[in-house]
Amino acid sequence: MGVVAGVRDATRIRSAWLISGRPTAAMIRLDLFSTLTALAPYAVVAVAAALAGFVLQNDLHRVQEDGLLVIGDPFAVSLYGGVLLLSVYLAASAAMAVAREREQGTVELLSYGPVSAFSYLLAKFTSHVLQYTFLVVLLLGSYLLLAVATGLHLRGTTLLAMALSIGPAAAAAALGLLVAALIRRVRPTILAVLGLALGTVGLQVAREVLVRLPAPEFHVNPVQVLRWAAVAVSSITQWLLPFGYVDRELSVMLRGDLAGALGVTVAACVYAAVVLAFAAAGLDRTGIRR
Amino acid sequence: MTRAVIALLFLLLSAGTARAQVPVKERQFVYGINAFAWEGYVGSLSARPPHTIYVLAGHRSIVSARETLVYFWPITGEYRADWSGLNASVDGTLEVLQAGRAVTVLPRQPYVIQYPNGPDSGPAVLYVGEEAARRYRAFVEARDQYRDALARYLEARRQYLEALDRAAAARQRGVTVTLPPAPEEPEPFRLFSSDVHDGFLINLPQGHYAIRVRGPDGRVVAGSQRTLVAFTHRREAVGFTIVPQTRWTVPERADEPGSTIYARQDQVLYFQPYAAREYNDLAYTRLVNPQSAEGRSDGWRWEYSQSLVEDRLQLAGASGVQTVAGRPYRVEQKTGEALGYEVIEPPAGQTSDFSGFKVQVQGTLNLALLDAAGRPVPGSERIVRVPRLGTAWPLGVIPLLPLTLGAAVVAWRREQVGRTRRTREA
Amino acid sequence: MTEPVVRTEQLTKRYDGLVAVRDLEVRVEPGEIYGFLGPNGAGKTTTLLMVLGILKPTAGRIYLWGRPLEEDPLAVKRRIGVVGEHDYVYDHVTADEYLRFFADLYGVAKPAARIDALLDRLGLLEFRTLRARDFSRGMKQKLSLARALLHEPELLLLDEPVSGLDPHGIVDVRHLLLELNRSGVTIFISSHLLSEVEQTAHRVGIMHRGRLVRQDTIPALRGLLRRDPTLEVELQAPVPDLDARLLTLSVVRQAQTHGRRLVVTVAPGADHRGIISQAVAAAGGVIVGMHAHEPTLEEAFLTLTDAAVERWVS
Repeated sequence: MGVVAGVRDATRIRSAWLISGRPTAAMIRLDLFSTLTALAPYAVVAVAAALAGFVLQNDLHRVQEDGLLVIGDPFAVSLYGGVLLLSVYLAASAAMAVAREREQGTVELLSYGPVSAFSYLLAKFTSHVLQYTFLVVLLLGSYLLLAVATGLHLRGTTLLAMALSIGPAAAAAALGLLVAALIRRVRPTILAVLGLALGTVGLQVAREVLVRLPAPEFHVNPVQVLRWAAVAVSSITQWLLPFGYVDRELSVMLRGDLAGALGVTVAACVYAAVVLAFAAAGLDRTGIRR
Repeated sequence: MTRAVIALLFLLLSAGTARAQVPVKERQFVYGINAFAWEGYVGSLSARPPHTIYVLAGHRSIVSARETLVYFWPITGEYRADWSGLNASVDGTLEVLQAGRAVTVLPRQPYVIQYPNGPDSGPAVLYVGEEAARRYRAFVEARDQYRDALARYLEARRQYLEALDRAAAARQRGVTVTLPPAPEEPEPFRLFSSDVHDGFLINLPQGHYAIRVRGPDGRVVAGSQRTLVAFTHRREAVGFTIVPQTRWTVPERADEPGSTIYARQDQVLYFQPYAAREYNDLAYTRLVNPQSAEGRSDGWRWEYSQSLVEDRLQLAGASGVQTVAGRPYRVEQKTGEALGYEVIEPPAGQTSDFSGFKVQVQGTLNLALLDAAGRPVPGSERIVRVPRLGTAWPLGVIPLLPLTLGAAVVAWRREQVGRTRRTREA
Repeated sequence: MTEPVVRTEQLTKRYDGLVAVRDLEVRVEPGEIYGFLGPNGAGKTTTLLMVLGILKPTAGRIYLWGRPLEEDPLAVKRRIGVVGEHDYVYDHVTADEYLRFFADLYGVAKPAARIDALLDRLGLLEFRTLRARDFSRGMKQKLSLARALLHEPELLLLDEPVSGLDPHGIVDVRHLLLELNRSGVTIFISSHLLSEVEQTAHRVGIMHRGRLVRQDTIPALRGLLRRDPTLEVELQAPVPDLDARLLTLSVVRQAQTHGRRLVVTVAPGADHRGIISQAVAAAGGVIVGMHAHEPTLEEAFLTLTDAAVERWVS
């Protein structure tokens, strides 16, 4: 009886693989091939590496001038910038991939076959996460070369932070897919994704500025209202938008709190799963026809 | 767009208007806070709106219940007290509650804060009750004695200088005169003391509390409810103040045990160890200033707690392991026309400017403070590295490598497709 | 009795008050070639998309091989090959990579051999390593057909399959479709090219303004229009007043000349070619050709989609 049940389960798994898993794997391979044979991802890594070079050059200058530099992690700032840049690129790339395919009609083409909205988006999501992994490895390689060239130490926590940043990056990719699922055209999709990314940063800056602006509370003052709004909105968006997860994961990991960083990564993965489900529902609702 | 510009102008104008107005003063109940903060007591204010009070758990701090005139000072964006306008003590006891239950009731008592080495150096000491009054009296007495001694000294000096003048004039006439001994200046009076005030002595374990003042009539004084947070450190370690020989007035701190010290080869550094504790960034910021908008609730910071008196520093490098003893050092200007200064061990009878462990950087060094038994003090390990300070061109070339890889991939792809097109044309 | 491959029941699709498809009842039997005809905006593509599960019907049901579509749409789609209205291709891959991807998607066994065979059959073998986006319209259409056939589907859904093809290409595709049908593939063609459908389809459904006006075999549709026989006569030279002379004959219902071409409608029941020949000769004309005119599918289509006739049919 157990053998029969086992054989039945194996048949079901094989059937599920044939029906859903194999098409998804095929789409992942095609997507990876197309994105990694374009120049854009390498250019983004180059920019991130250049940023790191600039920051490290400043540190070396300080050592040269002051004779002394005490620093927790010389790659911390570079890591922040690099991971954030790659995450924004990932979100935009995922969004653009879906929007372009919708405009070109190739999504409809896929739907002629054994491809559902969810398996399509899952393939896009997975291929982009794999792409991010590859880019992080490239960036890590650049950091290693920079460490050798400068003699500034690349710490284990930096490596771990880069590895765990895959979780928040996956969340960014999921957000890009959700935006593309809800907005049909390429240009508005890209503008929406970049708007969300820059908006997150801008909101943080605005919050920091408004919190420091003088505003007595026994006078009615518009700064009070703006400050309250900025604090309220940013406390929501830091959970609703993936870039908050990027910030949290990096700052926790760079403090050496591995358990905390793992927690943030898991939370980001849950976020990605939920958003991906919404994206699939959104794509079903808005339709795959151009 | 026009509306947005007008709205922005309105906003800026109102902010500017706020600055130009005479501050409105409001009579309020406030807590004056003298919070223990290792290097001294930090004075701050908790007015209305009710700012949460932060204190270090397990250490004595003072909160005073007062009535004063509170105004908003827009330049710093803080509420301030006009003590000179009104500074009335509020009678009553301080009730401390936790989860709705009374933890303790504190009586009002006199206190004084004194700085044995002066207000800008060394730790402060808090005295309460009878001892506060006694210490204050002793301070006043000592100060008065110093003043008298100083007056006597000044008088003796005046006479001495007159005697010098007379002796010089007599010498000119060929008369030898015995000079009186030069008067000795009295020892500098370093002790600084606050006046005696009254307040409630807080020394609570870690936790969140509610406090309020109950007046002699049994009623809670209006506006006296506050939240009080007693917080403690997360970690302890050994921090170092590092004085570079080339910039001895600009030391750096290596608080974080994981921090790395980068220095030039052959650079001389002086390490001054201290005990450090890691506190929540938000809590410590609010300890120093309850009105501060800065500080991250998920951030941490290291704070100096006290100097350490271990006398050996172990250095492990390519040339082996050695220990260095702590010594006093003095900064001497170079003589003659040469610019700059030297750091030397002070000759006998001369004071030192600082003390520390002298380390000459020779490649990567692992250092650790040793205790009396010769064991490394936990949390004192640091690493000193020498970065490459040569040409900067590799930093410009390395970012091009991923781009080059990308270009190669794109070219390969084009070649894959392009080749067949040529075949077709042929 | 075998289930129809495609069957729709009261299939309806509404868009904000506009009814694109109304109460459609289509049956496609196994092994047949079914032509789906209709003017622009009749609802053909909408129907096709609903059958594929891409558009959700407002009402009605769709059955494929006797099972409701919603039961397991992904498994059902593995048995269907589709050439859509537009020739969508990925712009960054070669034709070979394009087909390999879809072979992978469908889990085709021995994909390389299958791809080679299809490309060869459709005359695209030498262009296999060109970017698909650089193909001409007709080549893209053939490439789409190759894609649809990769996984040896049991049902082929074709929307304008020969659009963009030159006459050779059209003939090639026609032969291929007939070949596939002989091997058991059911084919559903939606097309404007009535002459092509007439040469390939066993049965035809005619759509007009969202309704299925008629669904029958081609001979039966032609038979709807068979009234009085018509003779088409080709003259050596135009003959003046020939129409009037012919109309004097009792067997002639209608006569029209257009230059050297004469179209005569005669009474049914007998062969009147002799009488007509004599009448033309008497008028001084020389006949160089004569044949009976069979109603075409186009005529049937135009008639059935005429609003006035539609009322008659219903």
